[in-house]
Amino acid sequence: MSERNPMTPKAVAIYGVMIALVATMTLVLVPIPATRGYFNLGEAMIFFAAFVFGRKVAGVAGAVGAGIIDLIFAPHFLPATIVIKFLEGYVAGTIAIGMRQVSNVWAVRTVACSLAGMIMIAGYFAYEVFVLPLGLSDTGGLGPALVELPFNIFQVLLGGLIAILLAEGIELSYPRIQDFRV
Amino acid sequence: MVLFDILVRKDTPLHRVDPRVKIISAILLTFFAFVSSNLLVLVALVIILQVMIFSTSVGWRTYSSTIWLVARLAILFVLLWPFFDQAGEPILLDLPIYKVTLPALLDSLVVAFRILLIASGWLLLMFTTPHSKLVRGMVKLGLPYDIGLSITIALRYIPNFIGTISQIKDAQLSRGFDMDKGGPFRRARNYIPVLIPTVAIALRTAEELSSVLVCRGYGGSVKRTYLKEIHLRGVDTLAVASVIVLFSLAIVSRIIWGLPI
Repeated sequence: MSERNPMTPKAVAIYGVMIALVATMTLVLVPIPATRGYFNLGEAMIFFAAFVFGRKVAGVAGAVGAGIIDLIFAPHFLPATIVIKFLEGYVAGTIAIGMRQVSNVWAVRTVACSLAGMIMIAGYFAYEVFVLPLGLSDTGGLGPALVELPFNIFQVLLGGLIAILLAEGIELSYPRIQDFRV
Repeated sequence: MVLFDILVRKDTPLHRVDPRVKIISAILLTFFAFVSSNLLVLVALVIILQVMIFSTSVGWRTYSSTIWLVARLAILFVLLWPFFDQAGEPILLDLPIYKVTLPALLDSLVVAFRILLIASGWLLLMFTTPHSKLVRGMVKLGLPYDIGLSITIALRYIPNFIGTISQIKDAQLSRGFDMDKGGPFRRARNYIPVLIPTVAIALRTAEELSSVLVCRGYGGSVKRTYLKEIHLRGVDTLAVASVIVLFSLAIVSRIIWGLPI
């Protein structure tokens, strides 16, 4: 790591603020009507970071931001969260920035959210079915994984929708964001 | 108010342990929890950890509310396990699709205590270590300092942003904006008028922060010094050495020699 150039002050500030935003939004719980479930806005913020700042910021902000919250509220998910949320942000950012030439921004962002979202959904499912019961029966963990599955799907769908609308709104209302790319 | 800071502000022996020791122990404990499938060992470790957690004189409300979030999933595993795993004898409970067998029950308890063990290890770290020391410890363990600085900034701003969101929510509500109506997609969209100002404020904060970092000479010198140094005391060295030896031995004997630990 000693070979690596230190980050610019701007990059440090962006990383810090995006980590804080992901952590904060993960704490914002929106009730899903007709069920007793909630979804949080953490996913929306990771996707937003991916659209606006690219894969590195999205990956780090996802892993660290959600990791901070997991340290307090769900430490048993910490190993999964760090890997899954990093990949989620990284993949979403790679697609969203890599396909920037495509004129239909909405389509690109929808694809980015769906692919990255699938990583998140499959990742947590696999963690509950294969990793937590490691060395034991592979089928026993299906119950809790199936219970959480619909909430995770909801979270990706709504998070993606919010992120796309939010990125559009911020690009209109805060044009200086163009100079922020790190 | 959201429970965000769970640090117990006391000065117990566990508080004085070097953060690096605690981070390494928590990581090794997590590894061990995944390789071990011996219920007795896991239960014993969970009990030892609860005793350690109580030795930090943590308040009952903080403890119960954090551990409940963890126990919920552990209980879910035990309750739902028999739907999908009905192997083995003897049968303890025989209902049409819900058949509890002893081996399956023991397996589900292993997962439940694994979850409790991992969570207790990290919670103990969070109960006894202030954020600043946690980040210093991670930097000392090899995390690049600029990422450490970002994390410090983030930890400093999370409470601010929580306040900002509720302020903006109140402002929009006072203008007659009804957030809690419609189906899930409508409700998600309802958050846009709250999120745009919040994110705009956050981005402005980032701009100011980057000027502040420049003004304070961030990146000026390659060799960094710190106001508060952390040092390994003799006890800490002993602790980290014994933790590493103990857990490495346990993990190796489980994976390589296949001992039922």
